Order: sequence, then C-alpha cells, then structure tokens
Amino acid sequence: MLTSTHSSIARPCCIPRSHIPTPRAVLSGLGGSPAPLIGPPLPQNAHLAYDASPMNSQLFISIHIILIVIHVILITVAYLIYLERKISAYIQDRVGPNRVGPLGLLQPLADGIKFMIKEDYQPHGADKYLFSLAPIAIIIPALIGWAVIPWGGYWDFPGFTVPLVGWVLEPSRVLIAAANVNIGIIYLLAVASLGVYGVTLGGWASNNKYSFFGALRASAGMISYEIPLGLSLLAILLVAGTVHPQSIIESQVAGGWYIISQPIAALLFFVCILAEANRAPFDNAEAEQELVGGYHTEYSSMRFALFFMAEYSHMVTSSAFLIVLFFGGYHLPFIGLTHPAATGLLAVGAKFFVLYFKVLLVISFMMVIRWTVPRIRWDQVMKLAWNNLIPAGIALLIITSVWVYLGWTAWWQLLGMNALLTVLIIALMPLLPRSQTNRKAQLAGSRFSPLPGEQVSTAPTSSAARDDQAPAVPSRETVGA
Amino acid sequence: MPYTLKPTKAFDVDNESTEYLSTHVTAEDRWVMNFGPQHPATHTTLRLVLELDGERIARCTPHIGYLHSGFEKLGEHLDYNQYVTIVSRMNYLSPIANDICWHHAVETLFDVEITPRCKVLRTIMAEIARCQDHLLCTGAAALDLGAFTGFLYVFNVREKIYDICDFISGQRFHPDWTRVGGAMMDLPDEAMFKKLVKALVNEEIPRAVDDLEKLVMRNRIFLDRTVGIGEITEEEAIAWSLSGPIARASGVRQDLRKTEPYLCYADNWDGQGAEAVKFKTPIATEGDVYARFRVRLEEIKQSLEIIKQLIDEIPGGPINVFSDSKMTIPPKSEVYGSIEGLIQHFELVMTNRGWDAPVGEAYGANETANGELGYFIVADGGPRPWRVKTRPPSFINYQMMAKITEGHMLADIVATLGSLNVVAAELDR
Repeated sequence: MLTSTHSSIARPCCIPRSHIPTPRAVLSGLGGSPAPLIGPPLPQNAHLAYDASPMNSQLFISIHIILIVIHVILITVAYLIYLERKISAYIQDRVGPNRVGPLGLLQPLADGIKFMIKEDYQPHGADKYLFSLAPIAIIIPALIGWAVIPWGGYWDFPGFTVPLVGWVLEPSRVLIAAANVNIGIIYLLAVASLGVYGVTLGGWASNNKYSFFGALRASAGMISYEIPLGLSLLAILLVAGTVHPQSIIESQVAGGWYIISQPIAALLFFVCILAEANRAPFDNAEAEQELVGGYHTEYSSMRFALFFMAEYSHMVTSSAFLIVLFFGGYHLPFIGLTHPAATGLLAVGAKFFVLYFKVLLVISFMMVIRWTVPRIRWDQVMKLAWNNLIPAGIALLIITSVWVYLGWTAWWQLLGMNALLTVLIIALMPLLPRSQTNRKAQLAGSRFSPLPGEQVSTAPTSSAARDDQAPAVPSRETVGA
Repeated sequence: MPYTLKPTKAFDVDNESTEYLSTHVTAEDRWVMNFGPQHPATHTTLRLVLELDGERIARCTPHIGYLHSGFEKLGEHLDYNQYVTIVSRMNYLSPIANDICWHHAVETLFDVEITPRCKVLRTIMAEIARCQDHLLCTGAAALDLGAFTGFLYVFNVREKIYDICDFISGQRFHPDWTRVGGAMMDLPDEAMFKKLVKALVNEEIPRAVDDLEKLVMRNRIFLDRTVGIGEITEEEAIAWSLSGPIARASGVRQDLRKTEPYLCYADNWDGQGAEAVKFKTPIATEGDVYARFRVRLEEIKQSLEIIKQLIDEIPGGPINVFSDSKMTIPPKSEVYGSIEGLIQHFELVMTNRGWDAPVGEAYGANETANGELGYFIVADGGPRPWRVKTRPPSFINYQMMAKITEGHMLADIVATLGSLNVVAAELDR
C-alpha cells in the first residue's frame, strides 16, 4: 500500500506527527499510537532541522496551491451567487437569471462590472477609517480559512529546479494545501472568531441604527455559536486524536466517516456554520424584513461586494471544513484514486475535484435551507445556542471522552453512543422548563405593557418621537400682545 | 354559521422569550428607531417610531400620512361612475372588492336592485378578490418571517386572478369594472370566463394554498414566530371596532355576509326564492398572528366553495338594471345608432347633467378581505356626491398596532404588521 520512495529525507516536507502519542493512546493505554497511513517516517527532530535554502518543496507547492485555489475559489464565489439565484428560482417556480450570456452564465461578470462602476457612497457621519476597514476585516478571515484545507492529500513531488534562481527542490512527499500546519483545526477556530470584527466594525462605522443592530446581533451570535462549534469539534478531535486536517481525513478513511460515528457532532457543526456564516435561518444580522440590510445597509459598490463575497467564501470555508471533518474530505469509498495512499498527480486532481464537489453539495444544501425555512427570531437564536446546542455539545463531549477512555472507538460503538445520547436528550427534554407562549415583557414607560403599578402616560417619552407633533399654536393673548 | 377552527394543541410550542431585565434602563435611555416610511417590511409607506429597549419595543407610535392622495376629496369631484377608479386604488390588494363595495353603496343611495346576473358575477368577483387579498397577506406573512418561497408560491396565483380581471374588464390590476346598476359590460365570453374561474378555483388556488400550508403551517420556526405574538382578545377586538379576519381570529362572530347579507349572500337574491350561498365563517379564539393566518387560509377555502356554487348557476338576462332608464350608460351601438341612446349617453356624461341623485345619505358596506369596507355618501341631488366618507378596514385595524406590539421584540413588529395586512393607501385616503 505504501510506496514510500524516499526513506531518507534530509529536509522536512511536512510537520512530523507520527511520533506524537495521541490522546487516545494516552488515555486508554490500549492499542497504542495508530500507525500513520502514509507519510514518510521522520526523524524525531526533523522539524528542527535547519534549512538554508529559501525554498523547499512544500513551500514551493504551497505557493502554487495558494495561487490556484484562490482563483478557483473566487470564481466559485462569483458563481455561487449565480447558483443561489438559480436554486432559488427552481425552488420558487421561476426561471432565474438567463439574460446575460448562455443560461445567464455571464451574470456574475455583469454583477462584478456593476459593482465596480457604482458610486462608492459613504454616509454622513460615518467613521471614515473603520468604514473602509470593515470590508477588509471581513474578507480576509473568510479567505485565509482556506489555508489549512488539504485539497488533494499528499503528492509525490518529483523534484524540480527553479529556473533563474537555481533553487533545487528535492523529490519529496508534499501536502496539497496552502499551509501544512498540524494545528489546522485550532487555526480554523481562531480564524472563525476573527470574522466577527468586520461585521461589528461595519455596523458601528455606518452611523445607522439598522447597521448597528445588525452588528450587535452578529457579534453576539457569532460568539455564542463558536462555543457549540468548538464542542462539536472537540468530540471529533478526541476520536481522531489529532488536530491536523489531513490526519483527520486519514483516520476517517481507516475508521469510517465521522458523519456515521458522530452524527450529533455533525449536526451541531452544521447548525453552527450556518449561524457563523449568517445564513438563513440564522441571518438575523442582515434580516431584510427587520433591519433592511443589517450591517451592510450603508455599503455600496465594491465595499458591499466584499461583504457579499465574504459571506459566500465563508460558506465555502465552513463547508470545506464540514467535509474534511465529517465526510471524509477528498475520500470516496471504493474508489482507490481518492484514497490517501494514492499520491500520483492524477489522484491529486481527482481528490481536489471530489472535495470541490462535496463542498458544492453542502453549499447547495445550505441554499435549499435558506429558501425553505423562515427566519428564527433573534432571542430564539440565542436561546437555541445557550439552552440547546451548548448543553448538547457538553454532553456529547463528556460521553465521547468516556467512550474514548474505555477504548470504544469503532464506528458502531460511537454510533451507539450517539444513539444513547439522542435517547437521553429526548427523555430529558420534557423535564426542562419551557413556556407555552411568547410573553409580552413589561417595560417602564410603555402604554400598553407597563411595569406593574406604573403610572401610564400617553405622551411619547422621547423627544425624537415627538418631532412630528405640530408646534404649539400661539394663544390669542400672545398674538394680541 | 360560524364555526371554530381547531386549536393547535397538537403543536408543543416552546417559544419563551429571553428573560427581560426591567430595571437596567430608564425611559430616557431608550433608542428611537424609525421603522419606515421606507422600509422593506412596511410593504407600503408607513412609519412606526419605535422606542426600543434592547430589542424590546417599549413604545410604538404609528405615524400615517405618507401616502396621502386626497382620495376622499376626489369623490366630491367625480361622479358616481368615475369615482370607482379612485376607490379601487385604496386597497390595491383586491381592487375589485372596492369597486363592488362602492357601487353597492351608490345603489343603496339610489335604491336600485341590480339584476340577478350582475349579483352573481359581482359575488364571484368579490370572492375572487377575497382570495386575491388573502393570498397576498398569507404569503407576506411567510415573507415577513424570511420565507420568501412561500410568498412566491401564492403570489403566482394572483397572476391568474389578474388574467380574469383582464378578461372581464380589459385591465389587469384595477378593473374598475362595476357601474351604477350593473357593470361596464357583460362578459365577453361566458364559457371562457367559466373556464378561467374553474381552473382557478379547482386547481390553481387549492394547489398554492396547499403548498403554503405544507411549507409553513407546521413549521416549528413559523410557529415559534407567530403563536402568542400580537394577541388581541375578543373584548379588545370589539372595543376597538375591529372587523374581518382580524376580529374573527379573536373570536368575534361577525361577518357582514351573514349579519347584513347582500348580493348572493342574502336569501331570495334573484327574486324567485333562490337560497343564499352556503359557506361557513371561520372563527379562531387565540387572536394571535398565527390565528389570523389560519383564519385567512380558511377563508380562501370558503370563498372557493362559494365560487363553486355560483359558477355554474350564472343566470341569463341583462347585466345592467333598467337598460332603458337614465341610470346606466347605453351600449355603444345604441349611442351611435339611435338618437335616444345618444341623448342618454350625453345626459350621463356631460358634466352639467349626470344623475338625478336623491338628496340624502346612505351607507353601504361590504365584507371585504380585510373587514368591513363601507362608504358613507352624502348626496345633494347633483351628479356628484357632496361628500364621501370611507370606512377603510385597515385604518381601523391599524389602531391596534401600538397596543399589540409593545412589549414584544423588534422582529415581531414585522409579523404583526403583516398579519394586520395594513394597506397604507387606505390609511391616508
């Protein structure tokens, strides 16, 4: 199976991980460290080896991957808007864009031109610098999340001498990813947290109350939904015993996709990425019917386009991570070409397209959800996170750690654990306190829902609400005088 | 007789709002937010000044007047036929219902009994208009909660309704079809009209309503967003003189078609002992947004039943009453072919002639989709009314807005506004 052609390697091509004892091994003492599926046997201190060359194979490949992937993904993002419009059209019994080019395929291009020639409007009273910073602050985290996704697994790099500069790149096994970091999942969490800054800054800098409301909602929501996101991730990491995305895929190939063994974690993760990407039914931050445009109400032209692109690239990133964590990444069962052990150029291409189309499937599913369900109200969104998802995540984490400690990590054992947890949750649900109606809160100064015992006045309390009232008519006496 | 919709006890709705801290903010710290006049969720041009405490609405002050068009004043300058073009603009969701109601009031003033054929056609069109209005309102209920798809499912059918209006009158949106004592013209092709209406009643509307029901009726998010929001009790509904589906969703047993029957809703409508059309008036008791949604959907189904009863029973005969009288404009062939017809035409059309209206007052009201639409006409005997006062259902229903939204959240404004089905043109007139 393993055809390692480079048993002696001078330079590290990837960060060593095989020597790190997994938590599973530490916890249980059973089974020991799982043998890596592929990858070269590395010396203990390989990552400390000093390398005088400014370029090594992995870096060289990574740069090219960045160049390729960023173009592929940015074009994908443009066409996701087209896809969304077409999907919504099919759901709603319409035709969708079909004017520009064949089947409307040039519509994204036309949209892009329109975005560029629109007036770049900045509202009066907006914070000039933050207003410009916000679109940047939102697009960058959405883009850099792609860095750690292993698009094509390992590739046996045949070696290459860079012309002109004469750097010699030795044959080695490289990871088809922008950055081969072994804390990829932690990196994901960190980047996901950064996304909230753009939204908050945009809402704050716009000098618009709708925008500010959107920013408030988005920041509270994103922070709340990071907790169940992290908890569902931890449940996976416990089983996988690694935070390296490529190794997580390998462990899924060996032990079955985590969608089968950890479905609750997959559900939590999916709900959370919907909320993190501000997608319906969690799109409260830009709820059109409530907040007009939410945090990007005041944005136009390319600044708005950046917000728009950020939402879609966020979807791509989070869908890719969903695929990597739960759906075997680039792996397809029974197809040898997509097995991690296949390291040829053809295999890399096949894996890239498998991952790509899995991502498109997830995104299409997100779009179908968006065009099907109503929007959850804001307090219900928060309640869903804190009352339902986080307790479920904690319970999942605890029960998973017990299972891992006992060494019950086969897929059917974990599936049984999930079934047990589901039964527990369903059994405990009726015991939780719940109310049957939407309550009206009692507020000071309200005419129709006042505090108990409050003296109700009918005049508006705020001067801003009174500005429509006619000015006081001068009395006969004042006019006469 | 009215009947009560089944309560939705089967759904275990859990939509408790977050705990509200009443002490940490004083009234002066409130945020004032202008919801409108231009806002995607106000559908038209109306403005709510919201004093917000976080996302809670501490005070809601509705302002109207952004769509004032002088409709009532125009009634004093246009004659009894011309004014129909204005009334149909008041409620542009179901314009033909306004046409029918306006001429119902005028015919009350003139004390004219219209022909059975006209009664049947007007009843069919009034019920189609009810469907038209309710389809938009129930679809918009889904739209306001973010479910765009449900809205388009039911909005599609409105196109077919426009086609019918186009067929009978030549105008899709504002048919302006009725005239004093009848209609502008008879059906161009009765078989075609029946075919169009039957397709609408038997296939298109039931399918759309079915789609919408499947999409949102048992949807947990929809239930959490609508159950218990904007509650109106039966006493409040009576005290604030609400009417139509909003009152009936609160348990008020009031429907002008039953209590003060007119057209084919009354017994003996054809003068030969015909029975009134059979239908039920849905009543719900909860009085919340969801109850109003259910009542509206049920009213669509009842309207379809009424149309099904009448569509095969369209009587023959003239559509205009007294075609030789001075009440109706003669057909064009007579205008151009006979001196009497020409004289009669000019008698009605010339600005210094027109009708010999009785000197007096009359109030005619119909049960339209949003409730009791009435026109109070004061006539001084001239060709034009001296004063026309409209009783628009939306205007009366909109009074409740502040009362039922205070204490709820910002997002509930949208759901409540949609369920009241406020038409701004009716507010300002």
